[in-house]
Amino acid sequence: MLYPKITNVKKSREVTNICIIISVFLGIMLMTINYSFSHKLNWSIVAIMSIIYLWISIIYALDKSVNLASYTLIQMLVISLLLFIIDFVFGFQKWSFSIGIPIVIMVSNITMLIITMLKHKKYVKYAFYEILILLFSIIYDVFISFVSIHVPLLNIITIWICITNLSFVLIFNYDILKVEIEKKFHI
Amino acid sequence: MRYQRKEGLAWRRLDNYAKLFPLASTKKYKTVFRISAVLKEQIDQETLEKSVRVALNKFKFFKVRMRKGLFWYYFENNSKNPIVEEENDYPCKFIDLPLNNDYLFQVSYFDCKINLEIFHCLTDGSSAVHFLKEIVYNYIEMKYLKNSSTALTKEREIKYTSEDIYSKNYDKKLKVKRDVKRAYNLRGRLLPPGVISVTHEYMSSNKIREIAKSKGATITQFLTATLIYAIHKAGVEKDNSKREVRIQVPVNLKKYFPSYTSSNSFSYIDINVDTNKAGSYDNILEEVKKQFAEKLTEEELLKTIAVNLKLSNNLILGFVPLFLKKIVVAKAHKKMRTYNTTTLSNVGRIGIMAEYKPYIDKFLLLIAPENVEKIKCTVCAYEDITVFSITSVLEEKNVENTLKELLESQGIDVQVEGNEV
Repeated sequence: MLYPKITNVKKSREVTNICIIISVFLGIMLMTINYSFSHKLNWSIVAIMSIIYLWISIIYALDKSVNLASYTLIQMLVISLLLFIIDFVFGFQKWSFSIGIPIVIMVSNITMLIITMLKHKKYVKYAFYEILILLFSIIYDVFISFVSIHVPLLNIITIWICITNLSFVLIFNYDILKVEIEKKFHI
Repeated sequence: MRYQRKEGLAWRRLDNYAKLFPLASTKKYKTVFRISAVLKEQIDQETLEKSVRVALNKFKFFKVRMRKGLFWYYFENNSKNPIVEEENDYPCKFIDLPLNNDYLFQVSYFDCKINLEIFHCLTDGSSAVHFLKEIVYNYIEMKYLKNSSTALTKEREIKYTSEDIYSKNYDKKLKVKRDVKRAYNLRGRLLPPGVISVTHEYMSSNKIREIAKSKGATITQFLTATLIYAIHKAGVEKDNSKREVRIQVPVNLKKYFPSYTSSNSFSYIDINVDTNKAGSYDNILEEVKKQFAEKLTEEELLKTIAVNLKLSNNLILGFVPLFLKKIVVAKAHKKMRTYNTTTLSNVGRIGIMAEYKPYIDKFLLLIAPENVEKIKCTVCAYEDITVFSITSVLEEKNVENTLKELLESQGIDVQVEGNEV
């Protein structure tokens, strides 16, 4: 016999599909409840965004190919967005800009610094994502410095952590970083 | 340490033909092909795993994973071990890279058969054959020739480069007009998604050579004409179609432009015949012979290379971000595939060193079919067995059956085997 008998083609997608249907149903239900009580969608938006966040986290966590640095990057971006939405929905007090996002950026940069030190040999795998994390952090900090007259203390601390992280990368991993940039941007 | 660091940093671009494969490929259009070696005894997984690892150390070219850049994909060193497992799905399935330790090839086995499935962006059929042969040689040595006094491994020194044969032979000045007429596409009820039917038609290599010679044709010309006539009888005539049958025949460029490259080094010629006009088999064969003579020349092949390179070397396209390129190229490629009825790839005779021949029964080659080109055809030969294989996503096996009848009507004895779909 040259070929095996294939019996079950579609196997494990069913569980995922059921979970997606439950999530969509839950989202619609929350919006309906929210709207019927207050005629204004606020907390249901936050709940739906949290469900989306949960899905992004699960998909990334289950993907074997995702490395630590890309996971850190995704978490940083998604949590920052989630914080901004929560702030916006509940009156836009701008605490996401002055406290929430800077803390996320700080934690991400410190995480990357620790990962780089602990797994130095595998730095090639992390380099590109570290560039993106640094890029996002720096752009965010520059943006805050320009739009706000009074730069919050947390943002100043974040800038210094970014500078430390960047210096570490440039001093110890410059050659790797150079090759990574060549690879990613070749025409 | 320094070496490891260097190896980890090593990367290379995809060759100019391969660039388009990951952009065009989807779960439905897989650009995966399979080459199998059928041995005479059951395969032992542990020995196969070892032989793949040894072969991979020789063929470092295959020890890569594909990564996304901002504008193009690229290959970098893959430090993981390849996965070898028992075949448990239809052939030429989309290779899920993360589940395959990021390798662009997959080795599996079933009963006496060793399968090597390769994503076409990595290499083409001729280099894949070399890699599979190395795996098979290693396997046979480890399993059966342990005490052999001959140092066989040393005799198999491998020379290869990753040179881009297309860039090397690209002539910017060549102007080409491409025929963009839609060809006849087979119709019929499709198999459920993911299911592929496989039909192998075995025949004697000597007999087929003798018959082709008597008609003044090569084996490829003879089989191309027979396939066209089979498609005419089983499809064009039944559907009352006015379209031409167009067969894309891949050509190994290394025969025309010598190179040791393991990167893709193939081009293709399009054989198109208006079968309604041609009428008889003999007229179709004459037309096929004529077109082979016209198109299978160095100059014509250079023109085909130029067409493909003009697209991949386009500076504007170069600066388009990868995700946008993928959307555009996948759509354009789907349209382009309607210009072909099918593909017929003939890798020719697979030569094996005499000491290993007693352990090998035959070789098989398969290409993934898809919903536009619903069947794909391949030919490969080993010793006196020539195997004409057809993979299909159609429920009916009209072309397969008609082809068998046509070959038998020419006096060729045909044995059929398949995956019983």
